[in-house]
Amino acid sequence: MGYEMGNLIGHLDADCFYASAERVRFPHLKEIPIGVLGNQGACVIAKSYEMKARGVTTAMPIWEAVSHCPEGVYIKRDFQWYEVLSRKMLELLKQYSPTVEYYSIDEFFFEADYLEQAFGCDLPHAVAALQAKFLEQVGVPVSIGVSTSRILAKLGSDSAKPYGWHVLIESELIAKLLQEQPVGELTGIGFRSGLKLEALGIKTCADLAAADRKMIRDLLTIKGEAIWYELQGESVIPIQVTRPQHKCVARGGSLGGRVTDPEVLNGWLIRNLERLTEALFAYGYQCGRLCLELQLKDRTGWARQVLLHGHTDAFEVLAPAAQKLLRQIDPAGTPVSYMHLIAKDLRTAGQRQLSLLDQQTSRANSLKRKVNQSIGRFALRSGATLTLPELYSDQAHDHEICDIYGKTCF
Amino acid sequence: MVGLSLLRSEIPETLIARQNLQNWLTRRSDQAVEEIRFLWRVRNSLLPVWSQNELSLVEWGNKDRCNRLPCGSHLMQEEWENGCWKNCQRVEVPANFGLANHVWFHVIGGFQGILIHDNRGGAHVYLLTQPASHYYEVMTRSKRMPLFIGQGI
Repeated sequence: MGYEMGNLIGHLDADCFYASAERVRFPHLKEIPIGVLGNQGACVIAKSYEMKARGVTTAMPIWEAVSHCPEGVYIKRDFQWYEVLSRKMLELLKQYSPTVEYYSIDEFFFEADYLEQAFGCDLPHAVAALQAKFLEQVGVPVSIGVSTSRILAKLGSDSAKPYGWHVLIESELIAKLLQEQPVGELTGIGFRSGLKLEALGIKTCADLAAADRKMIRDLLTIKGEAIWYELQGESVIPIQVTRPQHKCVARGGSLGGRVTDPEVLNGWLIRNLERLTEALFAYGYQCGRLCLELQLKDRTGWARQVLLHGHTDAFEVLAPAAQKLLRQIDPAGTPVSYMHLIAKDLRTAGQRQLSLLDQQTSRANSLKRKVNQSIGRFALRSGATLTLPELYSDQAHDHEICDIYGKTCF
Repeated sequence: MVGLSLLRSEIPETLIARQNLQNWLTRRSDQAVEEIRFLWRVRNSLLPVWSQNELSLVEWGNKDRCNRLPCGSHLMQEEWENGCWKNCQRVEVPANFGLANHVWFHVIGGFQGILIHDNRGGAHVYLLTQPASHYYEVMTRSKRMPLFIGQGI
């Protein structure tokens, strides 16, 4: 077959995952154009192929989507349910591969050398059998690509959608696919990189593969060079079974409108901080700097940060620091529509420098964590968040995509 | 809310035949399941109602100004709780999809309704409404929303 054991990488990607996940629990939604709405109900964050065929795109405002697809049915997103299925997919894939990367909620990279052995047939039939297994056991349709590098495997699954698979080992097949795919389809080639490449006449993946490696390195740094190698079929980006260390951890998002009331803003700040400290604890990090980023009424950005006295993940240390940042909004009372709290300069607990003024997580905080773990997230929370009753009365707000841990991508 | 839809499979065939609902059957795509739509704008608008373990079709609200019953399709929950409406019964209105301001949305457990009889003994069902959640208001641009059963929205 032209490949050796230890060479094959697979990429498995759920087809319109959120929509498919809704169909697992509500089978009557099959064949119906469905759109999954973001938390505030304002725009489509995922859609079924039936809705896509009617011109609805991701991030389209709902009113525009309705004009394209009046028969479409709109559903509130439920990340708790999507995580259940995502982890089911992860566990199923681990039955067929010793090395699996949990790349995102609906995408996995895996070592594909054992598929033939597991299914007792040749590779193409084994890939098809794996695909059927996912539909049967999880209920979610997936597309699969298998090749000798991550980039080629992902191109294989992307180009096979919906509910298809590609085994890209023979050079003629790879060359044909690279010729068909625009360079912007590659993970790691963003808008700016695409413009740089286009200026040099590099439009397809085949153009990039045929380009001079050193020139690509000069243009796109070592990340671009890695893509170049991967397009040759040389695996240089490994499968990562554990998440690499974060540069920063952030929590926040839309405030669901323009907020001016200082009490409500403080409620959002504390909510985001409770989510942030929970994430820091889950990852085992402590931060040396805390940054507050806001989007103001005229869509302008505003950001301030504070250097902390030593590294910490303690809510009682971070809360006054965050509140001090919030009070710096000038002029006071400026409407705020988005808020993010970002923990920077991260250290794992064992790496940090101890300080004479060291403040460890209080017993109250540990107790709060234990209660919430056993009863439910936010069952015990700061009184400052009482200004957000509707938010906490709806369990859909308890779970965001960033609360799904273990993924190597966002 | 101006309409709802129920899967055909959830309505007994005898009821479909008796009420001549075949004309109300529709599909959202060629392969999709059949639904029966109940729209406020049609002349004799009806709603499905679960009452005493039986599914029946009941006149939706009141469009007759001569009647002493409240005009319209909805009643406010606040009024119901204040005891504004006597001799009426709380019922479940089953639905798989709801329609408000041209937006169809997914419904899991149906809606809460109020069954009232007019002075001739005719039954009327009204959907109960409450102030819309932020999500519902953004999705449908409606200030009020129905009372969902077993579903936060």
